[in-house]
Amino acid sequence: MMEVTPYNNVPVSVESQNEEHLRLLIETGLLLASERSLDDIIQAALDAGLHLCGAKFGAFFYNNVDDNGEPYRLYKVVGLEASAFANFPMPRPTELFNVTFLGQGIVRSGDITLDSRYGHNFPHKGMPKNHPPVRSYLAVPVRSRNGGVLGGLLYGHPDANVFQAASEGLVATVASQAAVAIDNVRLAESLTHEISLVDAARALQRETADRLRLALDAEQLGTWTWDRATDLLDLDERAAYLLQAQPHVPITRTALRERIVTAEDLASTAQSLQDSLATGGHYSAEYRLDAPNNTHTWVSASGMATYAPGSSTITGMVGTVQDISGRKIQEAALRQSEKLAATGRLAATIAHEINNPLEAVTNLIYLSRTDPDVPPAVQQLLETADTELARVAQIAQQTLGFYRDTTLPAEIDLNDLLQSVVDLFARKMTSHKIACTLDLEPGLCIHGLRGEMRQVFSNLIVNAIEAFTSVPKAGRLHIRGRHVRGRRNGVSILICDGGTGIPAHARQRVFSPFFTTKQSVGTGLGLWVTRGFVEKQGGSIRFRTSTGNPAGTIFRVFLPVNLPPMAHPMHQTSPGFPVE
Amino acid sequence: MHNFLLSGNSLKNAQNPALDAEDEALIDIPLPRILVVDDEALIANTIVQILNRSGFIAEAAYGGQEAIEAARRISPEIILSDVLMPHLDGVEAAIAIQKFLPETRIVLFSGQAATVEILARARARGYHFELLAKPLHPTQLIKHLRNV
Repeated sequence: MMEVTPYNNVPVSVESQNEEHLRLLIETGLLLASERSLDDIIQAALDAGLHLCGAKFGAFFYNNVDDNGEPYRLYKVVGLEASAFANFPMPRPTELFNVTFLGQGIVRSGDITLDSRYGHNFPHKGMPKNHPPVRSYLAVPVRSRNGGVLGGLLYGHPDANVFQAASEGLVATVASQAAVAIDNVRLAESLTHEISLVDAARALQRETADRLRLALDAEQLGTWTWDRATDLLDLDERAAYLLQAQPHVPITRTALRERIVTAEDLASTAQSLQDSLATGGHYSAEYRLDAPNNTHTWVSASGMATYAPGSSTITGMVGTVQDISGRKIQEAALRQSEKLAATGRLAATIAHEINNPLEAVTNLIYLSRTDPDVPPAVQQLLETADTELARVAQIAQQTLGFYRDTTLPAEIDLNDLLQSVVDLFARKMTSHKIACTLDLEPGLCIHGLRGEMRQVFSNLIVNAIEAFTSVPKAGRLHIRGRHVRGRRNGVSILICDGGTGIPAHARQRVFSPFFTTKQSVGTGLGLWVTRGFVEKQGGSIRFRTSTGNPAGTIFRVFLPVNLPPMAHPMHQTSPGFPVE
Repeated sequence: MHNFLLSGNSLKNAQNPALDAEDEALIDIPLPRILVVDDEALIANTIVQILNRSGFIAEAAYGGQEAIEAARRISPEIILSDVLMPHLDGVEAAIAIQKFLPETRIVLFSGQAATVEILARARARGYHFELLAKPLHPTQLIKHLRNV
């Protein structure tokens, strides 16, 4: 430190000056302790320091770190216009400034221009041009509690030897008060920052949880966790609902599985879990659950293994469960429509192949049997051949004929139509010892496609006849037709047979394509086609059946009248296959 | 051995004893001329023979182009035509014939599902033809052709 000459041009008593300094120091201390703005703290410290040391001007350079971790200095000035420093570069780490900004100590100089460390550095070699003249110089580092240097209070005066040793102590006190205040502000800032980080983390967590919940809701996914050691499952509400259990009430997987999974899928669900435990991979299973009314719910469960910390031992699983009945129904419908399309192609191909030769042979037999030169015995044989050929055509039409009725709807007299269908199968009924009775109200007329309606009743009557196949005694086939008047006017036709009845296991599926109880002789398309035609007509078909005593089946077909929008004689439908 | 398959003379066959009483009654009125078109000669010929025995004057053609030429020549009241035939199908031939014989009744018959689309095309062009399905029993065919 330099020799300091007292700066005492104004006659002021030492006591009153000390008292004033002390008051200022206390006031500054109180102000700094309560101040929360960094700007105001620095300004107050700077002002107090100026007064305490009697400087002409001063500056506070504040070490700071920007968001990228780069150091920079803020500054404030006192006794000068702020713009006076605006064009000067920031203090550089010169030998002189380092003492302050690295916190090595206080610099007090009676004439800094005479200091051995002064004026060595390019480009200014001392103070920059237009810098206010400085001779007396006092620089006090502002040290943080943790030992770091927050910045420095720098004072100057154009005259030499202004700053005294006492001033140095006073400014050092202000510097330490400022340091505490800045530390507090920084602490508050860092706390606020940390709180905001925690808030952001919580918000993110909430958002993630919300997103997960929405995603689970969108997919109607329930969630579950399974503990391997105890075999206990924990189900959320949706999973519990799907799996017919209580949410968050522990239940073992084995118990739940045995209670709800259909018998057919029990083995596969056990196996799929064992497989995923063995491979340590992803668990995925689709299985059926028993539901009321003999129905099933399809569910899909997926899970990931959970491991003991730092180990490859699987301790359980976490996963989701979903109702996939809708998808399964769609898949079944798709399979069915693929079968249907294949059937259509097959039908067209076969029709193409057999219809023309069938036509030719029918014509040939007709010509032969109507030839007057043919002996009566041969004519009789040819007539039988004609009837048998009609059966071939009937079979072809029964299974392949559904594409055929292409003409416009027409008035159909069901009395005529039913009678002609019964006539067609008269021979067959006789050979099965079946007596057929018709009880038809007069005038059972509807508007529709004649060929399709013929197909409907042909199929039902053929089925009725075949229901007697394993009944040795004579049987009875009854056909009843009535007008129905009500919400929709129409016609109800009952076809009642006293045959064997439809076995329970087959009842659900009689209208499904490719379902047959007739093994080698059935195509499994008859009732499926029949229902298609009836529903196309806007009608419905139902059945009641019993395999007990008495056994038998009643099919009821309802057909709405369907008044024609307009009738045109040229659009009459063609008849289907001949009835003699 | 198949003499009866040949398309025969109509009048002689129309008096065939195989005809029933109803048919006899028709002899006094002019017999309707009918052109039977099918690329399968066996079908065309047998139908011609059946119709000739049943009160029609029938003639066979074995393709669409041939049908148009025969129609110009004999101006039939009815044309009974197969639909799917090589070169010129039944619908196209029928449309061509309908242009110069607008009064002629045209009956198509087919054993194939594809007929539906062909017929729909004809309908879109303003032609409504009757359609019969093969196989069609001769008695049914005769009954249908007699119904005006």
